[in-house]
Amino acid sequence: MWDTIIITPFTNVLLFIYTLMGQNFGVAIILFTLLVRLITHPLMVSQIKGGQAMQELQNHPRYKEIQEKYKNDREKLAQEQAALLKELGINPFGSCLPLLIQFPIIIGLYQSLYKAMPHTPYDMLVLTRHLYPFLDISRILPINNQFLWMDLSQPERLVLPFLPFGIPVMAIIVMATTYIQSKLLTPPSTNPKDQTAMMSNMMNLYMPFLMGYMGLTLASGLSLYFIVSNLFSIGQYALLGKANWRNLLPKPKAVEEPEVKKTGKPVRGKK
Amino acid sequence: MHTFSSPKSIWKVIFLLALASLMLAACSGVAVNNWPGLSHAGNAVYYAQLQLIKIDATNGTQIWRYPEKPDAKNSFIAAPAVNGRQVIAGNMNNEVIAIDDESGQELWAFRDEQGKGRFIASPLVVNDTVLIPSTDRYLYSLDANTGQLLWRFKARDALWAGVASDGKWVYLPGTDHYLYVIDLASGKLAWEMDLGGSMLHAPVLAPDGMLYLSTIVQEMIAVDAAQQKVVWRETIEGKVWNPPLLDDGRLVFGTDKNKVYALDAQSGATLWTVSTTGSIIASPVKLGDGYLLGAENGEVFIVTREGARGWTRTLKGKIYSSLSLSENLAAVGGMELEHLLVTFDAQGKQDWTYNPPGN
Repeated sequence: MWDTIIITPFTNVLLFIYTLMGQNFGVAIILFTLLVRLITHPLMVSQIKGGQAMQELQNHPRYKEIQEKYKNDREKLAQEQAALLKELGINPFGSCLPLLIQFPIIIGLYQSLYKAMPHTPYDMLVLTRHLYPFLDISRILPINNQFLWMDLSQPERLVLPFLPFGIPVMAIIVMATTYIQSKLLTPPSTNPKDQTAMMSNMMNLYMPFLMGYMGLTLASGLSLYFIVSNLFSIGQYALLGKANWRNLLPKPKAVEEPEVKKTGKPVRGKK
Repeated sequence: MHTFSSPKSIWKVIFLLALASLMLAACSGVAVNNWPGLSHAGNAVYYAQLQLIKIDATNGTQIWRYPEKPDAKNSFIAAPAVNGRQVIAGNMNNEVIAIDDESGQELWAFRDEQGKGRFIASPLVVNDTVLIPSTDRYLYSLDANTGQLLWRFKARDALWAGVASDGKWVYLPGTDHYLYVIDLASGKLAWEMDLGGSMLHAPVLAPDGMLYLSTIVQEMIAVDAAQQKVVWRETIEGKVWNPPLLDDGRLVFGTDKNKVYALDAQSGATLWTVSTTGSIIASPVKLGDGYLLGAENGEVFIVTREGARGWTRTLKGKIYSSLSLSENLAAVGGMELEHLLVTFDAQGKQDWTYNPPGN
């Protein structure tokens, strides 16, 4: 079912683009990733709008009022919040539902990339069985995995003549773009004690390392997909005016304030 | 009921965590998925799937396995070559290993530091020279005693199929559609021929110098190596994934489109075909007066030399590999089978089976 609806069509479209692009698998991955991301663009816009609505809700006076009023009664708080959401016409799943719809597409994209680069005869057997009749197998196989300095079916290392080791350029770019993307996409938090914001910040640190590790160990074709996907997301947010570029700048250091300010006592002398 | 302190962030975190977990689960440390490679020498069967296992061919007892514990990264899928007291095999992590046949201990290991390939094809040992193709496009020639590199030959693309050799020339089929003929002593290319499709199995070399191989575009081809020309090419229904069997002037093979063929080796004319209910991936092997075939649907059956169906047995699982152990005994292996190896005699009676101790 999953194969028939997602993986097989994705794999065939990817390989069709590959044949159109003069059997350049790197260009095929880039175009295929862009194509899928463009198709899911409306979902992304809907997700951003939903997220923004929820963000604005948190600054709404009535929302703050409800929070204060029912801070000791979580059930009543939830009921009142739901009523407010209904009244304001905000769908609480407006930001997460498009995200969930994108989820299988992203996984499918990733799996089809993996499937299009068979590692064993059995993988090849499975691939040949999933090709649509319009694809000419003699033109597809062997898949030309070379792109720039990389073999897209292998983890990438750039070997320079004066260095005794290879540099994992793609893994570094995957890390950098994941970090930039997560920083740009994180909305500014108004509450420094906000636990979800703290969790989000932790994820912003954790994800680049995780993705970098995957870029380091998995086929570089997947790294190429991660990079194109990250850059597309950054571009999407930038075009929609939702990228928080300030997040990339170092935050100004907190200045120690006079004791009088902290305690709220008058700062001016007696008249 | 839940509160909406910052739903977007929560969903983002859940989404990213789930995505990362799925991606890691899909790729990292996953065992290589392939059918077992089988070879036979003396009284032993050598089974390559994840590990290399030596099994007593008379009763199915395990003699040794290498490495002792399974290692997905360094897994073996291709049948090893046995050269006297050495068992030689390439793994999926760019290494060729020679193992002492008696003890199962490693004798030497070769690794091309510039290469990044996987050894999908079986090695061939000719005059103490190991010939092993790699997906990194190179055919490696190694000293069988030391593992030292003698030469390496670069093809246009990845090499998935094993080679054949007459002791002077090496016949190398490529996924790049080319058949390369290389001087065994020097590693220099003698001549090459575009056969129009990727080749995924080793060629069969007949004593008269004819080479038989198939391409993924569903053709069986006979090449006269001395004349450097294609003698015949026949379109077949389906792809052939393992070498055909050359027997008494007949070329017998099965396809993934449920067909068994016997072609006249001289002319390529079809002698007979047999339709099956499952795809045939394994090579046919001689058993008794006929040929034993294993199908992907678990059927093991006999086809006589005249093309008539003989007995059929059905195993739970998929059969992808086969091996002749004697005139009266053959083994089959595959994936999702109850036993890793199952043997049958010529009358269809099941003989010994093999599963690793403890399973």
